[in-house]
Amino acid sequence: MQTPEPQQRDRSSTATDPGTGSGGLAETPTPVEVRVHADPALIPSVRAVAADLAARADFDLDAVSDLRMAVDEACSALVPLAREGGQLRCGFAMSDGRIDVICRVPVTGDAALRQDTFGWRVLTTLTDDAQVLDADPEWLGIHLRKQRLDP
Amino acid sequence: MATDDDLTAEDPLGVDVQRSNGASVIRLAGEIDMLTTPALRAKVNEELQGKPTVLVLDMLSVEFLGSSGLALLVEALDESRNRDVALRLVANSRPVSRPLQATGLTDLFALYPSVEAALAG
Amino acid sequence: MSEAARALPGRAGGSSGSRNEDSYEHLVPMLTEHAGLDQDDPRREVLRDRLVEGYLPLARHIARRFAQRGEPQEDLEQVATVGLIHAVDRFSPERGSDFLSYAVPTITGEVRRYFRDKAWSTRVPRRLKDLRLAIGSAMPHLSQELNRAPTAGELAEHLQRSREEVLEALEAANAYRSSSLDDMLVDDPSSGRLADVLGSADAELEQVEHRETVQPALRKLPERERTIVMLRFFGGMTQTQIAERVGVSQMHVSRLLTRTLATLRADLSDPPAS
Repeated sequence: MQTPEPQQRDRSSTATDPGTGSGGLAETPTPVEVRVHADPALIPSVRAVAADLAARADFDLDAVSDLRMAVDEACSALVPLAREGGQLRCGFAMSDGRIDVICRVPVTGDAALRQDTFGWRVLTTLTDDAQVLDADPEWLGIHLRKQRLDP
Repeated sequence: MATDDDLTAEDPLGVDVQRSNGASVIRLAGEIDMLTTPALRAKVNEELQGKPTVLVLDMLSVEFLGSSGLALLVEALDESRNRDVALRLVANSRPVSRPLQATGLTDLFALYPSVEAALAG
Repeated sequence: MSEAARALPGRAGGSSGSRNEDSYEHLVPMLTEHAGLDQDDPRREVLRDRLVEGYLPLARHIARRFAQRGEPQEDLEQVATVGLIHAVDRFSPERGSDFLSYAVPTITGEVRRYFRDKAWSTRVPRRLKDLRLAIGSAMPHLSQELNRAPTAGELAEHLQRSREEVLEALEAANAYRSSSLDDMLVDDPSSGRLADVLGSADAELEQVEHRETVQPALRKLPERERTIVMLRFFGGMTQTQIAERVGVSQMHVSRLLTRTLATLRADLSDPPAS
């Protein structure tokens, strides 16, 4: 059921694309990264950063709201799967009228993200692209992409 | 109308219930997410069990509505139908209307611009 | 605008904000030497000054994370520097942890304490509330005109306010509401080790509680001494540059600094009478 496809796709992307570098999912390079304890109480702050960045990148306010929700959803799905004491890391990259977000948490072997939930449906509805990153056995992530509607 | 205290609430989600003439109004202020939904669910269920004729959720001061909050609204709608309670949402601000719209849920709910309008039906 | 975004690399002023651990590498032997010296050893003083100066970018970096709360940046850096002085004084390498993981929570704790002592209110400033209302009323009109929701820039133009103000107002509720924003750490991933330290420091924060109140100690200093300390630690100036600026000899600056820091330290290590 799990395929390594999303990561492979990322590796073949351009340099500005946040992909998974040689350090694995944990060390995905992005211009901005937020690291917090994987604690639900800290998710509001992470989604606030996402919204702030999108507003700064001149996304319209509906798109900003969508991204805030999508990041909230991604973090809410990942945090309960995080290894005890693990960090939630969210990296953000803006380029060519789009914002890419990679959220991930360290996991133990059998953690898997369910994609048959209402939350996942919301997440895919709100973004232009949403992929589960599960090729790294130590980390589980979600890659979101939101395109800006240019006037 | 939002007051000074709304923006400075210590709790991520403030919940205030008022009952009169068979109607319940739950006034919400703050953020409805994974963290605050369980307590809100308990509150909503409690009101639904009292079988008011109308249950109004005043969401004018809600700043964020995440998918767990949306799921709760859908559950509450189902439950209200089972119990013959008219569930009405007061929501005309973007933090609530956009998530409903983006997820295609807007048409499921009876939406009103003010508590007065919701109570009047 | 959120405090977190304020700390973004680039805004943070690059060289100091995103140093990696290598920038501090040369200070490590000095730390060990400093910790090993007797309390009365005059060399301790000299080493301490150099250590505080060397780690100053770290204190500034932390101070910036608390920007945007209505406290002057200068004051925050001052408080963070006092936290750094504590960290240098109290660090003992034999405990097994590295200095950064000790200093970050110590400095952060000092800045937090400062906010607590100031009874900093979480109140959203009136002007931001007003602007939020104005944004709220402009939205329907603009959305109709554009056939989509406006951007922050479009709102700013329409309301004849700066884009920065609009962004700040948009984020105000969230940024001010989330007390947890304090616990969020934004960093430039290229800073490597420092990012890790910042990311894992929170657990240690709990252990760090200082009795001392910092501000009064610095405030008590005579004007000139305070200026010299400021120039030295916040301005990153050399003793010679300070000497030129203040109009005294470099030797004099050196003596003043030594004396001032001794006073400061004595002040800080004596718990205030309560």
